[in-house]
Amino acid sequence: MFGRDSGLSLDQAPPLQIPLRFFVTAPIFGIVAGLFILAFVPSLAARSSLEVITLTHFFTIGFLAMVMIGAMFQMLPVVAGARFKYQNILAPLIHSLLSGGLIVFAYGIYTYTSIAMIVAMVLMAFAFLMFIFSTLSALIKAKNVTPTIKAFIFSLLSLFIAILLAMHITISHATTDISTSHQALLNAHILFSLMGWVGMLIIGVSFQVVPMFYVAESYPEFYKKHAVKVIFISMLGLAFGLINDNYQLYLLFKIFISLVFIDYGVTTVSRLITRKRKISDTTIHYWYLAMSMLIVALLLSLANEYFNNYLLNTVAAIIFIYGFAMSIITGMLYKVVPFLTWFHLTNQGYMNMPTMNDLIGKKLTTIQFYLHVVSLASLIGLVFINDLQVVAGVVVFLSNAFILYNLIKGSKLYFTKQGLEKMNF
Amino acid sequence: MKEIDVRDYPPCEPMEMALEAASALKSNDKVKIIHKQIPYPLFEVLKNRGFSYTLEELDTDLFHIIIKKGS
Ligand code: HEM
Repeated sequence: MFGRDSGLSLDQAPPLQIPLRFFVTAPIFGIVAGLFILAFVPSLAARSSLEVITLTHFFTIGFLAMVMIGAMFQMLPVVAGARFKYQNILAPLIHSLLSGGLIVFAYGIYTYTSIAMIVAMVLMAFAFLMFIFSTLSALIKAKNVTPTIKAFIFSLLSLFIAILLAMHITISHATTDISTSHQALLNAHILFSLMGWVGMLIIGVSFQVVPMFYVAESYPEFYKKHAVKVIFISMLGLAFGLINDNYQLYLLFKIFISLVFIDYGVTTVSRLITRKRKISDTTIHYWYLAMSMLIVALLLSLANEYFNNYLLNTVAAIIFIYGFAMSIITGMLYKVVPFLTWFHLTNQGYMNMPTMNDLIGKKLTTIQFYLHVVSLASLIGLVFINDLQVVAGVVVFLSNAFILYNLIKGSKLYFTKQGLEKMNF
Repeated sequence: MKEIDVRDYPPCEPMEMALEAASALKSNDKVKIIHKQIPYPLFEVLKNRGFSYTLEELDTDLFHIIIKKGS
């Protein structure tokens, strides 16, 4: 097939700076979230209070979306043999619109300033829409639509819907014209952004990285073929139920979606337990934590349909965002950043390098993992106990500062000339 | 032709094994790497180091990459 001079440049990885700028920004917003808790968040009990909305987006946009967008720049060549056009302009542009937009958003929501809300929405929506369309146009050109690519496409469609809904609810706030359907549209925004975009993207990435990084068995063919389709269609059904006030329909689809995600959690854990290479590193602990938290979050959210206690939903959302999504993404960063550093140096001809597992070191990631667990517990505690404000703020700050330190350590070698000379004996 | 099965190794070992085998090649030799996915990053390094390769897709999770020196 294609050889040396087929002119095929599609398989070229982007320069390290492109994904790395997103990866490093994520824990910085995590640090900001910690400071924000210290200053302004005495409790997480009141959903949709201004401070909780602000804090939520430091995590969801500042951390989750930031890494997931950066990772897409990296993964596209590997999973689809495709690449973003104009990636050298697109990546810094999306990155700065999103970072700047998020800061304005935080100010706009927290101080309830209309103009800032609108400016932030325009900046961030522009970044997301550019990202969605350029990724989709690269993905649909892939020669071979693998289950991972299919999951990416559905997750991007969900993100698109989530952003349209976000625009609507933000404009409602900015014009203080909150309609009766606001709550339903808000729930749909949460559904499509968390379950749809974050959840399906993680599923698609798992299809690829669980067998690769952990030498585990592949996911079942049936699951790979149908899972994301079922989730996406059920989400449309659920949203329809929400907006038309049809509780039966809503509940039916909610149970359906939950089952597909729980199946994913259980399958992933069983694949990891039976993996061939039994080496245990921090990233494995992150995967186990993430999968169990995913299952707990879904069960709590289902239980809420029965008990009707809104606090259950709040706890479920915290566990989904901080316990599931942030865990898995942090674990992934600990694999991907050292791998990319190793790869780019190898590609430049450096030999005798430390293996990728030695670049950060197990001790540092283990300490950070425990900080993460404590910060998750303290965020859940903050729903019930106001006295935890300082504790929660400090541990969220420390945990993210530690991630930042570890990522810098994992990629430093690439940037330090001294490191390069030392290696190249 | 020498064959190296890298399917049971996590990154970055498959690439290390493939590059090691490639750099040990004599001028007309070839080496076959058995992989469970298409190793795009490896292709890039091979090209940069002056090797050429062919890719055979045998199944959705079975690929043979045959590497030789020069073009
Ligand atoms: C352009 C980007 C976005 C904008 C402008 C935006 C805007 C908003 C607004 C205004 C609310 C509060 C509505 C209310 O309570 O009345 C909200 C809630 C929420 N959004 Fe977003 N959003 C965006 C992106 C995202 C993304 C990407 C995610 C997840 C990955 C997300 C997750 C959430 C969650 C979980 C809530 C509920 C927060 C709570 O109940 O306190 N949003 N969003």
